[in-house]
Order: sequence, then structure tokens, then C-alpha cells
Amino acid sequence: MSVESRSPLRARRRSGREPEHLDYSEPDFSSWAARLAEYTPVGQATTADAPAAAATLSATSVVTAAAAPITDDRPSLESVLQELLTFDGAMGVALVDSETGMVLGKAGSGVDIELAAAGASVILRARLASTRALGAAEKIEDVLISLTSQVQIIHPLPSNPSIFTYLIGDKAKSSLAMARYKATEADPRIRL
Amino acid sequence: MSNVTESLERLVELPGARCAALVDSDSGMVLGHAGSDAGLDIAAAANTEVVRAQLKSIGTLGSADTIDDILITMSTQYDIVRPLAANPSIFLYLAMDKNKSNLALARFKVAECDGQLQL
Repeated sequence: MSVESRSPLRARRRSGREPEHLDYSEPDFSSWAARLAEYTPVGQATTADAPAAAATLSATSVVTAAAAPITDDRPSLESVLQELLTFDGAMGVALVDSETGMVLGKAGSGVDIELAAAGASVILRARLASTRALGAAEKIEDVLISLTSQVQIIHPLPSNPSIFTYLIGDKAKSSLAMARYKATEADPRIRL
Repeated sequence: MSNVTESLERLVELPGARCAALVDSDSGMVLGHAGSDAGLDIAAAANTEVVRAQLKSIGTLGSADTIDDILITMSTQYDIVRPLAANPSIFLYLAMDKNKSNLALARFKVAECDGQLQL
């Protein structure tokens, strides 16, 4: 049987009536690559055409990534930290990973924030560990530390409690309540 | 000047207060307490860790600062930790219900208690 004899157009010419449910629109070629990628995972392609499949997949991912709309319009971490630094008497702010004590981002130059952040990480870890030991569902919202000449705020992110924003201010000039408010208010704008 | 039990009793009378304690951060032992003692030992040990870590951090920074106080906000509770001015290795600890208490007032009262406490 030839291809022509199966064609809907030929069938219509022969029968003289319009077959139902015929789609004359162009096939959607753009979705083919995505479907191919879906059905030939790289890990399972063990045949001779595996490299070809992998190449197709990577080409597809590039296309998908480029085509994806940019929906994340939150500001950069740098600018959020700079904005946090605007509370009165601010000496330094940082975003810190308490598990490693490492600084993910920082702003301000009043103090050795890397070293202070390492200390603050120990405090938060100690506190998180004991909260777990208590078996309570209590979450730490923040830890405010007043020293002789400084105030410090450790504010774990609600989305990831092991990462915290860390604010250090001059005690004589800063308002603890205001700094605390700023730290809370910055949460949704922090992008990791 | 007032003794430990009296001072702690006065702190526990504050609105929303759950418990108050005097803790030795060298050993983590509770020297005296008032109010509910559910989980007090663990809370005391936890805050001991916090105070030690902070003292160590200050030492590392080579700063002459001392800790005035540490306020910890949790989902339903405030913790106030205040090392005594006379002896920073011993601290006052006050746990309060977040919905019923006034943090600023409690902080002030704990500072006042620190000044009057006689060991």
C-alpha cells in the first residue's frame, strides 16, 4: 500500500465527502524535542545512538533554559544587604551559613564580620541543637545579643533556619527594635 | 540587696513569665529556680552553650566587651539570658510566654534583678 493511497486528501477525492476530525494545521514541531528528551533519559540510553540522544537532550535543555521566562524579580543579595545596612548605627551585616560558619554575603566595614559570624554560628547551632533535644516544635525567630558597645542580631531565615542574617550595630547609636524589624522585613527579598 | 530565691520569685511574677533560674555557665548547673521547671535543665544547658559560645567569640575578636544580655525569640516563647555583672560566668535566665509578656519590661526587670542580687 502506497503512502498516497492512505492520504486523507486522496480518500476525500475518492469518496467525494469530507472525512471528519481532520487536522490540517501544521504539526507542533517545537514540542518534539522536549518529548524526545522526556522519553530517552541519558542514563538509560546504552545503545549505539546514546551520544546522539545525549546531544539532543543537551541541545533541548539549552533551548528550554533560554526560553524560560524570568519570573524572579527579587533584588540581588548584595543590594538587600546594602539596604539592611541602613539602620542607625549599623556596623556590618552578613548572610551566614551556620552549618559551616561561612559568610555567604556581607556589607559594611565596621567590624571583622567573618570572625564574628563564625562565633554567631556556634551560638545558633548550640541553640538549634538544644531546641531539637527539647523535642519542641519551637522555631527560633531571632537572637538579640547586647554587648557593652555593640548589639547583634542573629535572624534565621524562615525558609532555611540554618542560614541567618547577621546584623551588628553600635549600641549607642542603634535601635535594637528597628534593626530587628529590618531583619524580619528583608526575609522575603533574600534570594539564594 | 536580696537573695536568690526572692529575686527569682519576683521575676516569675511578671506577666507571662514561665520560669526563672540562676545558672552557672561553667558547669551548666541550676543554682536556683522559680516557676515551672518543665525542661528547665535542658533549657539551662542550652543557654549555657549560648553564653559560652558568645564569651569565646568575644575572646577571639579580642574585644573588651562583655555580654549585657541575650534575647532569644522563638515561636511561642521569649528567653532572656543575662550574665551577672559581678560574675559573668553565672547568668539569670527567664522564659516567658510570647503572647502574654512584655519583652522590654521583662528585660528591664531582669537588669534590675542583676543589680540587686546577692549570692
